[in-house]
Amino acid sequence: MSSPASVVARPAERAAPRWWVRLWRGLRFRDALLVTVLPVTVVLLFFADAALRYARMIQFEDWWSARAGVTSFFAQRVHAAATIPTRVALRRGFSADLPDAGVIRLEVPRRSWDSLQSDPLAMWGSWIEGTLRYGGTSLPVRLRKRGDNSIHWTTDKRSLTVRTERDDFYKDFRNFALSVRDPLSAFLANRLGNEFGLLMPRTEVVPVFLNNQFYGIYRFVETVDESFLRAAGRMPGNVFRGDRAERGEYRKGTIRSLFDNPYLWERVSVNDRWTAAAPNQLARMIEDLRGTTFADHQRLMARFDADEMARLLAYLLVVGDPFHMDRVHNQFLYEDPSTQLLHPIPWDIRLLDLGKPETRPVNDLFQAMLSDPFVVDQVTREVSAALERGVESRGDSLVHAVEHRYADFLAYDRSRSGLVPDVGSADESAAQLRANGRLLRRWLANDTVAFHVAADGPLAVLDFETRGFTGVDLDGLEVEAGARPRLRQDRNLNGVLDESDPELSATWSGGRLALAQPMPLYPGWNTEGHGVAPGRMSYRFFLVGATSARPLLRNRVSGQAATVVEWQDGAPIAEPTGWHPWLYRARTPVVHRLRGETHLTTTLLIPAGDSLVIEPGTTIRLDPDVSIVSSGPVRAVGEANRPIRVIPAETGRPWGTFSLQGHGADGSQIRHVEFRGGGGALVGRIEFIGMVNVHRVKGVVVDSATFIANVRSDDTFHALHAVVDVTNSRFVDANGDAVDFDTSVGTIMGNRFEGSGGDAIDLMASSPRIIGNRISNAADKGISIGEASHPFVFDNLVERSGIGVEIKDGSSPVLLSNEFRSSGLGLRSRLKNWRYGSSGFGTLVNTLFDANVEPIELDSLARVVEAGVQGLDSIPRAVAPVAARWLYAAYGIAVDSPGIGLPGAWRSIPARPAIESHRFHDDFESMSDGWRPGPRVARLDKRGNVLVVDAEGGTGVVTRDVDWDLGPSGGGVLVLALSGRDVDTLRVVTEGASGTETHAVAPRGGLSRFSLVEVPLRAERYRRVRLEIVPTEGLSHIQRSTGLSVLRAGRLALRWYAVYPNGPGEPER
Amino acid sequence: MSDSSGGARGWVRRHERRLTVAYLGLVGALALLVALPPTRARLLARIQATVDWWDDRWARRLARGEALLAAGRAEEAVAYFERLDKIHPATNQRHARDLERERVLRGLARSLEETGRRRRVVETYQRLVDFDSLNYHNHYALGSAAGRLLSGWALAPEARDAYRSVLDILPFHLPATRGTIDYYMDRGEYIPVTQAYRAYLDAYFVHRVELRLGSESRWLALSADGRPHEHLVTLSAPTTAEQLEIRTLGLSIRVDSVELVGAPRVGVVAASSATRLDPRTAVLSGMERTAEGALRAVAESASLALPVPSAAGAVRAVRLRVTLFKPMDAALWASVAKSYDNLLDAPGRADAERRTLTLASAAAADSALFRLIWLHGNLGLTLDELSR
Repeated sequence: MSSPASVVARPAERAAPRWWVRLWRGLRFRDALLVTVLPVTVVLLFFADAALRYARMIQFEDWWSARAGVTSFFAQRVHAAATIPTRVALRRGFSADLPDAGVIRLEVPRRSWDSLQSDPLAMWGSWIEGTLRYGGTSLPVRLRKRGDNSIHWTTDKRSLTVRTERDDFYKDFRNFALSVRDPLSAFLANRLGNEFGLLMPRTEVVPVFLNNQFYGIYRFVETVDESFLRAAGRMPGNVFRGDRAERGEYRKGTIRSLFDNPYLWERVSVNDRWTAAAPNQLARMIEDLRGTTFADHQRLMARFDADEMARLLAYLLVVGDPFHMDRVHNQFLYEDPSTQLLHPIPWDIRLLDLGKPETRPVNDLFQAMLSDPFVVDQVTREVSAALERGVESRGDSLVHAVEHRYADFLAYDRSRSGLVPDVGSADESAAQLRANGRLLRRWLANDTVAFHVAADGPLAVLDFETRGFTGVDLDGLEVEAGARPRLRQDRNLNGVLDESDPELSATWSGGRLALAQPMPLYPGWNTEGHGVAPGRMSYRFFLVGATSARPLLRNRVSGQAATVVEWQDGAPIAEPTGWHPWLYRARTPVVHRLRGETHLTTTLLIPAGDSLVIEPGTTIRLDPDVSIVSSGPVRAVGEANRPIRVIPAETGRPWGTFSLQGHGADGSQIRHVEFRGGGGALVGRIEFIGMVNVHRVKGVVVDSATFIANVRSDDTFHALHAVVDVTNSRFVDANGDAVDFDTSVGTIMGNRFEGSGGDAIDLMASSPRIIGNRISNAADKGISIGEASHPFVFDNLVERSGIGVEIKDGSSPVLLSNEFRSSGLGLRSRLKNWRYGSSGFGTLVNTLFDANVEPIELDSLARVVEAGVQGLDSIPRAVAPVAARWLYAAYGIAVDSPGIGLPGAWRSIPARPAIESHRFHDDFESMSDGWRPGPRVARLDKRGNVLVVDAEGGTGVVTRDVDWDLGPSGGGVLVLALSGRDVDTLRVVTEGASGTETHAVAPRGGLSRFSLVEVPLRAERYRRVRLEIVPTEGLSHIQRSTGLSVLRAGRLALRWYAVYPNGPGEPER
Repeated sequence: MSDSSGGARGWVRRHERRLTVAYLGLVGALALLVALPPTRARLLARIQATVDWWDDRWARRLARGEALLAAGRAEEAVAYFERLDKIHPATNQRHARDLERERVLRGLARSLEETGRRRRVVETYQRLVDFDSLNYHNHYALGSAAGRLLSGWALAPEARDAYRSVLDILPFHLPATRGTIDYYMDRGEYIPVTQAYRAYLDAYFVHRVELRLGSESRWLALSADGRPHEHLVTLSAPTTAEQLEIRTLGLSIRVDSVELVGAPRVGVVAASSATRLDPRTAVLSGMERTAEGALRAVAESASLALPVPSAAGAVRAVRLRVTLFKPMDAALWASVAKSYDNLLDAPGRADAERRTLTLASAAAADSALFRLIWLHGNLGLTLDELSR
């Protein structure tokens, strides 16, 4: 019998509940809490983070903050969380010691850094102290916030400005910016400016480590100031900065447009000469810009270099951003003191889609420039040339090289996109550049011309209107006429045929009137809307002797037949969208002649296009402060017995200047001319600081001239941005410097300098050949080589002067076979102008210093390469001359028997350059320029423009692959300029096809005096060169970072090396 | 105690399943809220609105302080503004609420002035200048306060210095020019008076004037320097019209000549046509003609209309010669003229007089300047506040 209870199935017999049922039954509140608390907390934290970031962002009021929202911040945080594993994996591979010349390693005390970044709105303008690890040393630097808008300072990666000490630069820079905005695309956009020959700040993409942790990828940007000008080879001058858009410098309640309000501009580089144009010149420029008449336009254009403006506009079109240099910010204008022209410096250019222009016009200055038909035409040509020379491919390789080099760092920043500003990608940037290129090609093909011909009595009226981006050339006309018709141009634009309308030269054959010169019909661009668009420009011709014609038109850029459309008869002709090209009048060149006794009472200005001829035997007497300034070629050629004389009309009162100004004067000749008693002048706002000046002129010859006793002016002869030969001339009693070359090249040869009040020869950023000059009694320096000058100085004698030769400020001249005698100081090398960042670094060979009161004075940064130099040591010692035939030959000189001092007889030969030459320079490209470290090399990098090799604990080896084929020349010589500290022996091992050869030398002690090491090479092909550095035994120097002595440590500093082939007649090894 | 806690624990134990379900339901709802895009967007928008509301508390507090001051409760306003000044988040002019911060400081200064604490008033205005030294109105407020509170028999030097700072930023700031001239007039120094006036006349001030011809409207940038300038205004398309209207937006003008350049026609040989309009026939609105033929603007809507003869046909450009004047009042010009006379500088006076067109009162002249929208548009001030 079974009870009812027994009917109920036993648990074991029931179907087992599913797992989730079991889970549910067993679930306790505590378990639910534990399981969900983490995701819930994370989500809540994301919300809180988005809200806080939004709250922080709205503390700013700018373009970026206006687009911020909690939604986007939340999405960015989710994305960042999802990519944490990627970032962790990438970060494992990051090291601050990565051997890469582009890596910037900053170290900032944590407390200082926290104070800087805790509040995005605090500590503006405040510097904090830090260090920058660079080339085995630490530079003290100061950092501060950079950028005025929120993008720079509200994300996890902030923009910075870094400044080094005055005498210890980071590479070539004292000030630089690290910008977070669009590093890849902005780098590409700004780098491409170099392709157009523009004055551009240098820029790079760099990974930045902060306190040994990767901080982010940045765009390195040079700041615009006087140092920037000097590094770019420009004379220091005013740089006007217009950048008042953002809140830091924003002037409330004023007119915001920089082109309406000159008071918004400031000067970031100041021309502090008394003659310098003051800021009110900027106001004059703005007045001209705001003017609406043709005269206003011409005055404006005279303030700029039209070709440069065309290149700038072409560049901006290629990168798709003619907008960001706008009317409220990103404006820099450099005023060149040698011309008073204004040069725009592109700043913060973006890479944009030209096909989607911003909804605003280009700035007022660009509008004004594009109202000039010649500028518009030149822009189309520049764009075409850039596309033809492959600017897109160049951009592609530039940006992909960066992507390849810093792939992991970029990937890291991309994985935290939103938390840091977008870094972009190489593919996107290159694609954008190519898209712009495609669009511009279509623009260049857009050459539409409207045409209409109408009979008017015995003639036909031909009306044209260009309506495309590109202009056309009118080659001729097809005409149905029995006799030769004549084509006349409505040059005065009055609409009717009259006497002043010229006939165009043409040939008539078989119904075709072919113009001798194609008549350009320039386009007009419309800049009143968004960006630029095709405009219109109308032209009228009269065909006399026919009543109908068909024009032959070609695209001015491509040369293809142009697109012609019918222009409706009787339609009103609108005003052109630019100045009509026929308004510009060409001058008929005039030859100005001076002869006999000439007395000038007012300044003679020769305009460009004209020329000046001064005949032999002419005496020109100039009233006080009266000058002759020629922008056209000058031919002042006297004869030895009938010299030309330029002298004061009143004894004791100086005349002004005799000057050549601008490329219109290229090729001028001044021979057998005596200049006496001039005093410099200010003409047309340009300061001429010499009695005779050559500004921006090429191919000038000054030969057998005499310069006597200038007064008042600093220089007797001043070359500025010029190419000039000064030969066989005499300079007597110069008031200051006798010959002053600034940013110039040429030759200073065979001259005599007697009694200069300053320097006999003074160089700034110039590299002339200074040969065979005799200098005596210069009150200051015989030869002053300063501010990044690199001249070749040969066969000169300097005696009884203040200083024989001075080398300073990053100059690296080659002095060969000179004598410096009986002066106060033989050689001085120093850093005088801190903007150049380094002292002098000259190479002196076979040079004699004799009977100087002090032989040499080097500052702590100066370095010198010596070979066969006698008289520089405090304890006199006999020095043997070096043959150094390779050096003479490299400069095209042959000397029979090289000795120390003046070379005696020498002759010119064809220059025999090195087959490979490498000078080390601190850059962003490479740590060691191809040299590889081997065993026991503790350091191998470039610093102070030398390659530094530290060997520790034994012989250190560095190797470089080479490809020197010396078979054809019958051998040659490897020359190394180097110095060593605690180096016992340096072995130079060359590996050629026939085996290795070792050449051992003992580098001289110290790192400031370098020597030349010559290694003969056989007539074969070389594959490798190796340097083996054997340190001296025992303890060497005290290590600065640890304070400990280093055992068997030596340092080799390599300045340059070069391989010269043997010349004819030189023995083959 | 143990009973009650035991009771609560017991209650939780008894209802644990319900609690768990409710909690999980809440978490699930939150997950759905976050997972579904529309609800998530609404939630985030709500959070953003909350943040905006919270951030806007500064504006509400400022309004409360200003209300206290307007109600004449100056002592309370001082205390209120002082507290607000201490905690306001805008510590420099880069902050989005920088204009509010300036209002806080101005409110504090005005409250202090109401309570008679002169030294602290000037100190507060000095803090306003320090807060944003590129805002010329801060300098002007300091100058005005120094003039009111520190002057004795003549205007205080502190006021002069502040006016100089105004003019460094905005050289055609008429009240500051007036303050400078008053300072030197008080002292009987006439050379600085004429120098200040010359600087005012020469100050570069571009003002846009509208030309209307038929359907075409063009803005012409004119230099308001009291000198005649030639202009060529091109039209976007040939236009026919019955009148040419020139709107000066409140500045006085002299129109010497107007010429309409006709549009030639395709295929038609005809000399370029030009139609001269007679400025004396202009119909004036908000303007009055002076004896010398200039047009004095007496209203913001000042304009003149020149009838265009039908023979003019289609016009493609307008050539004109005009002179635009900076605002000036008769009393100030009288001081300047007296200074020229005292210096026996008749040529200087004649040149200055040619470049001057006066309005009846200082208030009229100041408001001609201040009502230009760009001038006060981003200062956060009313026209009344601008002149204080």
